[in-house]
Amino acid sequence: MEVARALQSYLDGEVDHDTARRVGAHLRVCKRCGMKAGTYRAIKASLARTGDLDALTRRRLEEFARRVPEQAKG
Amino acid sequence: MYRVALAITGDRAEAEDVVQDSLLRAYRALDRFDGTSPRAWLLTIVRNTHINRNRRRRPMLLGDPDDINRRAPSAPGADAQVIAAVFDSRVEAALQALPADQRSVIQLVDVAALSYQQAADALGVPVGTVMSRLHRGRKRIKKSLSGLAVPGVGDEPGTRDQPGIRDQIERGDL
Repeated sequence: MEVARALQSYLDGEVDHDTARRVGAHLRVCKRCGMKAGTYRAIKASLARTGDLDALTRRRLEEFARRVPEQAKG
Repeated sequence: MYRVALAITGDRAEAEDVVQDSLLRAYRALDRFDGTSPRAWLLTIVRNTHINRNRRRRPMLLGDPDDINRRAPSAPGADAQVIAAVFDSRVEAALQALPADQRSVIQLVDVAALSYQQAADALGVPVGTVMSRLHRGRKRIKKSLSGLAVPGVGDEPGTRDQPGIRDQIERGDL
């Protein structure tokens, strides 16, 4: 079915306006697709959390970035 | 930059080195930057840095999935925080279990928050390839979660204002 195929692109904000409206309207009435969308949203949110940089790595990279101008000469 | 490097290399230490090399290259090449799209420009540098480093050295093995399994809680309770923690660890384990090409696209789009086009540029593949790897990979993650409580899914549009299966059974609808 068409909505099922477009669902992931829709959740990524990668479909045109018309498709977005059609999928959005379908999700409001179809429980099955609504739940599927909910699961994909939860997966996406969970994955986004795994990208949080640990404090140590962040500090090392920021420190490195500060020293780039002098290192680039070397 | 780090997230993109992590997606491409699949290794935290290597990703850090790639970012450092890329920062140096970017600084040295600043005068050749045309000023139009800094993000795309940096992505290209990260990608080229990775390719150049690999040319010099054999690629390292990918991360150890046992690291994630060790952290997985063994006795899930009903509390929302536990549900979310169990969900997160299962999603991450499922991500690590994916083929590398699907995993890196997912990391670029969902972890590094790139668009399909940016992910395609970062990997040097067509957008259609990004889409099919991404959607197939997520489908596999979703499949591996079957039977697991999904945090916040009851609030989704489409499930709101609709009777649950249990309600329907109790009312004799089913």
